[in-house]
Amino acid sequence: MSEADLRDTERRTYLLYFEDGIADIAGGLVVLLFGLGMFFDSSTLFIFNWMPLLFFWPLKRVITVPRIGYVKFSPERQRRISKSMIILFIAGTLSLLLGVVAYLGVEGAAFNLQDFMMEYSLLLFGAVMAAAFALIAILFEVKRFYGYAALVFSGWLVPYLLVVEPGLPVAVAGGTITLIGLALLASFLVKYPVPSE
Amino acid sequence: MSRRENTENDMDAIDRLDRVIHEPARLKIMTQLYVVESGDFVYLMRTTGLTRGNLSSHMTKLEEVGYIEVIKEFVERKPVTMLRLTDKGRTAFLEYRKNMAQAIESTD
Repeated sequence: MSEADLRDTERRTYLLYFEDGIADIAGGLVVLLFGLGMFFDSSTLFIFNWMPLLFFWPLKRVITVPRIGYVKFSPERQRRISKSMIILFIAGTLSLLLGVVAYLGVEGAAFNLQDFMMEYSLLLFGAVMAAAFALIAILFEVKRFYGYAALVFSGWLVPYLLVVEPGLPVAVAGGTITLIGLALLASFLVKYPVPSE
Repeated sequence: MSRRENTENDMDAIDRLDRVIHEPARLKIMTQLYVVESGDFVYLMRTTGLTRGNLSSHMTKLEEVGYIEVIKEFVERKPVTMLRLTDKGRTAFLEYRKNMAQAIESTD
């Protein structure tokens, strides 16, 4: 049993906590609501699109921990997780600021959101959103999030290439991620039932 | 060093293997606890594939020799029984790995 084997064991243990699909569902719903908000030009959906993130930890506590137990990772891993959370928080705050700027645009103070979205700024939003998924992939070592990053970015890119309402491809990308998350969750629930006392 | 002396050293490495850890189920438990700081009973059941009863009996054995310890903690105001390797357990596991590597090397 080499050092590499032990590192691999630690990594597999850590990744077990991402097999539940909850992060995918939360992230997917955020993108889905954002896309629908754009499609229907609804400021309400924009305001509430980050709300699925609120359910992340409660769901982890109710679904994941009873099934695969509670673990304290090595200090090195804990440091890495804390650092990742800080970086994600900063990235999230910056994205939120960008969102606020766009939201103010809805009211027509600076610019109209629809017009704003129709311009190349769509790609900026796409890049920020895709970067958030890529960050999760890098920081938390969950490789499927690289795929989500590409999917989300392509959702923002499509209106430049095809005649399609902006927002719809983003919603489709978000819906796809949510469905993948739900499939992972279903498989997780079957694979790891709550152990009997 | 002669071939005979080499063989004797290899045999020594096998003799030095810690029999408490050498049992497959206990080796799994020690490995899983080595890679984390601590974990609860369910975590060990999931990662080792052992049943509750089986795991419990091996845990008792490891606790008796002082390789693991049970800690009561509060996580979000709920009591959780956590298990972790003691310093003695970590040293024993490292020693076991070293001896096992030597024993395997000798068969190459």
